[in-house]
Amino acid sequence: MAPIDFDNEISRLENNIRAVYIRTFRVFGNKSSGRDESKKVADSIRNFIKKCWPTINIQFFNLYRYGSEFDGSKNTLITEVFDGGNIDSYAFDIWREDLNLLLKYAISLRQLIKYKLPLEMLWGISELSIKKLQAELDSLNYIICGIRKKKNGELRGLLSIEDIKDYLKKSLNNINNKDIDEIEGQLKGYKSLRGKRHLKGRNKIARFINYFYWVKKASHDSNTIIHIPFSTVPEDTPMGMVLGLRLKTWNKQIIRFISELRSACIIATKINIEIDVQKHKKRILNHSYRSALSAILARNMSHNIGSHVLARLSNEKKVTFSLDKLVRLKGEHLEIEDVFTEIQNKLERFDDWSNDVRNLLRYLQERQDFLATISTDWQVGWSDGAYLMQDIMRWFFQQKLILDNLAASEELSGHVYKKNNGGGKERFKDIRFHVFLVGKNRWDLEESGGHPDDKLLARSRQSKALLYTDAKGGCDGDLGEDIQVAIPGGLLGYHAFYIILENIIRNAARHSFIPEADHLDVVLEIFDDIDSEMKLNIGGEKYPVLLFRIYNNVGYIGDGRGITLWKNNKNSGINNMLGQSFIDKTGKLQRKYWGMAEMKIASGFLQGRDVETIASENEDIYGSRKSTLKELGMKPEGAHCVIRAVKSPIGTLGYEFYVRKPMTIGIVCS
Amino acid sequence: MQLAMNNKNHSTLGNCEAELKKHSIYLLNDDSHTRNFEFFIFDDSGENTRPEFLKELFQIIKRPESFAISNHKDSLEKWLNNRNSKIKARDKDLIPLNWIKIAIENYPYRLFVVTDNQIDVSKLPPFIKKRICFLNQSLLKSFRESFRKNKKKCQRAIISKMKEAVYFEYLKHIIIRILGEEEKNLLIRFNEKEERYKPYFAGTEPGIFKPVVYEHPNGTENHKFFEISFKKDEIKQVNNEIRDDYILYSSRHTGYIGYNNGSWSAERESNLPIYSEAYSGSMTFISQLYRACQSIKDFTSRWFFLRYAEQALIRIGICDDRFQEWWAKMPEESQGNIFQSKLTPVYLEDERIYHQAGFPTNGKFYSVLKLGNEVSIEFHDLNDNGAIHLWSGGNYGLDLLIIHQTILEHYAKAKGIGDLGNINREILKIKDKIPFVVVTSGRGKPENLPLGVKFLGYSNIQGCLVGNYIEKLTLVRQIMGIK
Repeated sequence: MAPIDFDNEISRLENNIRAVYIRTFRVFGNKSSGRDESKKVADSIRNFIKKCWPTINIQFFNLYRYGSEFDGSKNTLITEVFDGGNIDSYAFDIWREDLNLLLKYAISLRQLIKYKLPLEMLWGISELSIKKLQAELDSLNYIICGIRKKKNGELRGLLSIEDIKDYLKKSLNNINNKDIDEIEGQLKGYKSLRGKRHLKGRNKIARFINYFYWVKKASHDSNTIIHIPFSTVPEDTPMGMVLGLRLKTWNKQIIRFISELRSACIIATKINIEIDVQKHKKRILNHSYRSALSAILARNMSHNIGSHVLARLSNEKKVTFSLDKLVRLKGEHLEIEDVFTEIQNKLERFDDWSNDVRNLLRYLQERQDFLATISTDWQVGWSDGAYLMQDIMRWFFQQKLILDNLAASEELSGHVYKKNNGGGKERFKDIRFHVFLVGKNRWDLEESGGHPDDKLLARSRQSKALLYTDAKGGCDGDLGEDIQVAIPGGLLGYHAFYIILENIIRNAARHSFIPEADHLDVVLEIFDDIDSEMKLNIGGEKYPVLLFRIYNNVGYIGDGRGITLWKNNKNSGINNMLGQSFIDKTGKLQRKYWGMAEMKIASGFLQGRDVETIASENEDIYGSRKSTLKELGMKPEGAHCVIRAVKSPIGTLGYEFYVRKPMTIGIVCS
Repeated sequence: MQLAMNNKNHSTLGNCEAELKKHSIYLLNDDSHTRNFEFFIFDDSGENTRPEFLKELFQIIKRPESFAISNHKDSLEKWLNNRNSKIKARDKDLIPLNWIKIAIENYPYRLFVVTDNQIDVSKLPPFIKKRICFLNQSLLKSFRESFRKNKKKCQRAIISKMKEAVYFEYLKHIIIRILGEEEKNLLIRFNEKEERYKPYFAGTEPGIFKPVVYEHPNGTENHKFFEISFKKDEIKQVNNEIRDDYILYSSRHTGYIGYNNGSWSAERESNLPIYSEAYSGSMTFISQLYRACQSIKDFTSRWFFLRYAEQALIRIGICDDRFQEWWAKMPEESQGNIFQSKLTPVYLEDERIYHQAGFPTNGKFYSVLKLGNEVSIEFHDLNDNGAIHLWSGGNYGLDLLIIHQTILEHYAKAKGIGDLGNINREILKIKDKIPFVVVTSGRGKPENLPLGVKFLGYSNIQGCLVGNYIEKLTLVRQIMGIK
């Protein structure tokens, strides 16, 4: 017979347990009881024992696991009996409140600690004399602890039900007869334990002993029961096993078996503990991500809306009516109609102002709610099929006070659509919006020649224009071509879109707008994917998406001068900034590129990405440089990235990102 | 129609999977991954392949007292937060129906089960009857045939028709199962007249959004009629009201029961008015409505009318202190107009308790939800109960309740329920009467949100309050999207 490759077998066991463990604890949440997975672990261990110690006859094998994930909330110990392939589960709360307290009475753990012996949570009950065992243990320098019953100073195993009753009565004076009766009642048939999670007994020892005796009852032919937890720290061990053996005597082979099995289990479990540690780390990082998200969005709200919009509004000139001034202006020609007209004009102005303020306040309230939502419920799990123009953009255009003040420091204000509003004028140079649905053939085409305004006009004519704003205060657009997008969280989620727009306006105004320019164009382009080929890959699932591109007319991409998309010897690139995580490895917020971080967060939210992806780096954010975002989306596996800075068709800075399409009908069919 | 297929027919749709996907219809292997759909359909292909949810659902139909899957009982026990073993043994709430009432919230509201099994819907528990639209396998036969005839390519028109057919089925479901009414066609009566008040239009808002202003020198009205016919699943423009159709009455600023000089009276005669909306030009969907009226042949227009009809049918109650305050401040005319669109403020038990506001001072147009042994709703309408007649032909009630988390918390505290875990039982009780329950809050999604509900942030509701109007269409559109 070929020698057993112990290392190899342990490695195999480790892999088996790891695979099952990951699945088990993934499904422990809600979806599965984990029974099937437990059975696989048990089978794996039994095969391991059979292969490595073929002569050891296991009478009884029981695997237990905590009833919930290793996160400090475990509250139930579930044991499984495997009988001819069938599994029956029994739930106990014996270790629920305070394992150490139980162990204090039942196991000599405290003594081990007291005497600074290796903390080895291995215990057993045996009907054999422990004196012999002690001798063997001494020679192995290994310790097995049994339940102690002092009799002439000798450690003994417990022999019978009567013994335990006797033991309970004599040794533990704070347990009453009722408790013992209950245990005895249960011993008549261990199935009666089902549903008896809360024993009457005040003493936790009753429950612990109860467990021992359940095991003993289940294992008729065993005279020795060995408990082997899967790690050195029992409270942090989500699984363990109990073996029933029928031994004639303690010998070196048995002790070695127990010892080696114990070691093997620790090794096999080690990786699982590490997985748990990783999970903990991930959980902690997740909190950091969320807190970073909130910090970034709150800071930018304070900066963009607070410092620019609200600060300016608080210094606005009041709408006042002064008769003296009117008298001064009109002199003796003043008539009562003039007074009424002046009052009427003032009232209309005030009425418009109050409407604008009401819109702004609603906008702010929604933004605050949006912040609260993403910090409490990042993946809202549902989306609203909203029209881009009629539902989303219209509300943004109604934010006159935002549009008039967001870039007022750079002397830019919202474009006033005079033709539709009977006049009116911009306070500064205007911000003009255009929205085009661009076909396959034009999407990648760079507009050549001419003034940027002419290029945009050409683009509007060669695309489906949902909105084209002309210089004279008019506009054109066909809302019949409006498209539906799936916005997570409904109206609140619109703000992810607004955040991107606000940042693009602010960045263009601050970094690229020059006094010679007479206006700022903000162009939204949507790739007109009529065959619905564009997909986004999220955790292996593919979702239909629309590709958006938003650009301005002032921030030119240049090789030597201007904006750099990708890092070179001289400059750092916009994409490299986008590709930097907003937290470091310890979970600390990186205090730079706030605006870009915010755009990244907003586009990630629109796509339904998880927080980890948004906090990741480089290609996870901007995708492989070898392909455009259109190409990445068209690949069979779909796009994995979030957002990328690009050169627009008119040579300026733009950003491309995906937004999900609504999904109408799902049919579950076998 | 044969939407979901038996095994023999799966290939029919399966062959068109890619094409169906292009048009936003997805064939799914199971129900555990993506559920973010507007419509979710279980195609029941028999006992052996049923997902867990369906297993439990069919168990309720056969043997309502025992669980099909024992884990479900354990989960329900945990959800009901039952720690007392004595209570547990005789816990009347520990039944499969309650598991379904909670688990169903993992799916979209528009939920279908297509099955060959003969199901006597009249014997189903009210909750199941209202929440799940059971369809016969034969219903989509015509589509299966169409796909067969067009083996090379599933035509866009067929798929559009298929999507519409699903919506038609859901509207029928609302009329018959949720409202408990007779099946009749719906007729949208769209009355256009001169704008009474000029809606505010921000200077920065492009003119393409400006609503069409009807200008008629004589002040007369323009009427348009659109019939949603269930016999042929079609939407067509007609010249007049059609006798026996349910009328969905939509008129600028005026409800079906009009308000003149402090009194209410029905201005017009319609045979079966079941909804009235006094719309305003400032509502965001008005341009969609106008466009739909102009091009009824477009899929987008027909889809809009189906959505419009759906929101018109659903009866909504909002139990939120902020909403109650907003409502109480409105002029009576606006209250009455909104009430006629089947939307009411709801007070839990009484006014000024559980952090709620006071009743409207005019004593009209609100409702009170009582949670005793039996859940009941009292409507406070006009003296002759004129407006509530629009809600349903005598079968008054709410289909959808939106309730503020804070009110629930105060209610739980006052009733000594303790933590919100135990309020799950109250929610289950409410759901027998009101099948759709949504909890709202302005502080993000609360950690102690009760089970068996969906969540909608208050801003999502607030966003639908436009001046003295409510965009019920936008509200329902969002709610139907919540998973």
